Amino acid sequence: MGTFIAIVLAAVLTNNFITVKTYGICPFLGVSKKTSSAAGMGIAVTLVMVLATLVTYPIYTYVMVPLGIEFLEIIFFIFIIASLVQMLEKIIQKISPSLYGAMGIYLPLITTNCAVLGVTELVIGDMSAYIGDASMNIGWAALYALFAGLGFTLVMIIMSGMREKLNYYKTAKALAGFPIAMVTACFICMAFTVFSYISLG
Amino acid sequence: MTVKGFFKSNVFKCLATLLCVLLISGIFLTIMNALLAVTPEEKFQRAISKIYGKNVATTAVAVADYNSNATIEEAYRVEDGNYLVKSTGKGGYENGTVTCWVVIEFNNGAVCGIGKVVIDSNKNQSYIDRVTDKALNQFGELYNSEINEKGFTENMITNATVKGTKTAICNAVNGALDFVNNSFGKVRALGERFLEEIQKAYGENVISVYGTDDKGVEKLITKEDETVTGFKVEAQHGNATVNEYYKVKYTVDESEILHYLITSTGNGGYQDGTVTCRVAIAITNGKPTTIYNATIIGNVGQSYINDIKHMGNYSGKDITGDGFAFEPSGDFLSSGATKSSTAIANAVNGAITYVKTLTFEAPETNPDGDGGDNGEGGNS
Amino acid sequence: MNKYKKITLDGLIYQNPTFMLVLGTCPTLGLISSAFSAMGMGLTVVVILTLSNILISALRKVIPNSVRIPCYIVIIATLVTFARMFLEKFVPDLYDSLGGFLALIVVNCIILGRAEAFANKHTVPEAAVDGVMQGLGFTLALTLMGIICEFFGKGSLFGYEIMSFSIGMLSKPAGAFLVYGLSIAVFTYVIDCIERAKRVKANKLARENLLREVA
Repeated sequence: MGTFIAIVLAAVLTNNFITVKTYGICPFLGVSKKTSSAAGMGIAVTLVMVLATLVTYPIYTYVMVPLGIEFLEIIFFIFIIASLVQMLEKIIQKISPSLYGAMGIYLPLITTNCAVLGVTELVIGDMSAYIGDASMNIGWAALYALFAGLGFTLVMIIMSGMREKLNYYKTAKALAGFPIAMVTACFICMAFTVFSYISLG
Repeated sequence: MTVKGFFKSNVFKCLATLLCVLLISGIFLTIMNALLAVTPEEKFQRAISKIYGKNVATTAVAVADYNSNATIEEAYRVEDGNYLVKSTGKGGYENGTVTCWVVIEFNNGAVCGIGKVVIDSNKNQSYIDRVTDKALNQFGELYNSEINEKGFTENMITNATVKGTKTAICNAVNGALDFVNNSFGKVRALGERFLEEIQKAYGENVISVYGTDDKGVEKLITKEDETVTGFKVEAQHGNATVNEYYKVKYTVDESEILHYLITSTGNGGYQDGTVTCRVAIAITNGKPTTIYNATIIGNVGQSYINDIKHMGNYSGKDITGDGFAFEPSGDFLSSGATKSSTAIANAVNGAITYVKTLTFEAPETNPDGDGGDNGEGGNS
Repeated sequence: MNKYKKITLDGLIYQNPTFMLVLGTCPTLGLISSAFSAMGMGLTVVVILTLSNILISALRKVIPNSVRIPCYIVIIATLVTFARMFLEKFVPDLYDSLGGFLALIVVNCIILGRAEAFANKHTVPEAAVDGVMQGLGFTLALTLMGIICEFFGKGSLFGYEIMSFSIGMLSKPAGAFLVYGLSIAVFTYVIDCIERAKRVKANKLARENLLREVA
């Protein structure tokens, strides 16, 4: 239970992908103009993160390490993620056209989203900061990926809310677009530093 | 689609290209991996050369814990005779730990210094960044034989505003010291360390220091002594408590010089704390004449004791005048530590007052004689 | 030669990947807290981008269109893996300071973006120059922001302590966002002013010529 809480808190708040690790900034800046699209993108990223971790973690631990081909991890992972995204797109299109309409447009963008590759690389590395003395397994890995994705979605939604409000104000020409979005992101990051004081003892 | 047709189709072309690219990449990377792989030995060597600043040969030694506050992870004997110990200190912030590499300088079968402390990793120490290099260097700077015995405490280290993390680092360093002392070093007798400490003030001169044995009889302190006791005093003199004294004798130009080495604790320091000084007073022709030197050996609650810069000004001062006393002002005051300066002046004055209550015999000309040993009866 | 001049100016200024196109933001924000790691990341990208541009440009007629993206990804991933091995072996300090962002160069939009937008349509020398210049544009931008963030955030430059005063926020992601955002604003503003001045000058010249002809 302690490990579970530790992972959730670390993934969502104290080590949030966007505000602390700065992973997945491209969709964070690019798809955060409207709350609906931000939420859609966030959910899609979360889904791919969990699925990618569920595939890459066992492949890395049970195939690549025994064979001694860890050094091919980047090629394997990016290939797995790319095929996964393609498959997911096709499956969603077949099963639920309405869901595809809502989420489909974000899926191709996810292949080059560093949050996905980032989480698969993270869980095969040193996770002792999150899980303490518990030994790493695929359950923890998937849990971490799930909550890291939800943390990502949370910040996406906060950001889109702020940017929707920003539309009501006039911005200086030089600051319009990316600059003002980044200044907004700066304030979100500052607010999130509060969570670094969380401690589980 | 026929088999022949398949081989000519676009699908085959696509697949073949992709497989070729994958294969070439795989082969290229496998070759590169064989050429460029970093072996664990190399990684270890790298970590060591980062700590040492150069490549050194090491041999692993068996580890054991001698201290419940630290776990020794790995230990190595370096070719220059020093020891490199990886030690994890407990008791950090939120019950976390800090793992440090400690270079323990080792010479003549005994620990003689701390070369370097490098933080390797930590658990739960969110503010480990606040431990600066300056703070870590202090372990090497502060090290002395007394610390080797008692260990570092958290308040010795400045430039690191995190109490818990600092405690864990101190524990790690102490653990490493205990390990090397117990496993490889002969623990030096108290007498040797005591003499070494006093010898520092006298430089090249060969000195003999006299204290008492357990029955209070005067005896020469030797390096082999397991315990060191001075002439007990425990008397109040003004704003100071005089604790004990030793006699130091040495010969310059064939005449024997006698010093009374008085340990005195002055009151009135910062936040009602105290400062303990050791004052060496020269006795010439049966009379205390000048202060040879005064050093701080301890304090209670004097946070700014490091700002004291004027101890050297006490050296060589004539104290023959009746009721002579130092005022904590001018040469005898360090700005930023006025309260501590006052406590020091009190301690020195207490020592002077005390030594003037004693009576001395004129020293004999024979250097082997124990002239001037009539120190008893000073408690009046 | 004019062609290469245009590629150079595009890479460094008019299509600067960091300030104008805002690509490769994750490593930028993650690494500009230290000038050394920012510059190291930039130079690593220069090498990978140049090599990937050359390879992709050379293979542009061999690779069938429908599998080009997977092929590019494999080529880039190979180069990144190679760069990772190389850095771990020969520049371990940089390897440590880049951390997870080294592997993430694979999904750096600049590299795949240049492959798609430039390398598969141009000759090898052009693609090579484009790779170097785009990479240098990225490096310069990162180093500049790295210097700002490290100087004010840690009071040091390239690891050497300069002053004891520092604003801790600027060495954290929040400060990185702020410095990046304001840098883009200043950069685009300056480019705008220069462009406008050029236009005014050109208009003036045209008007003078016209007047002279009329006269």
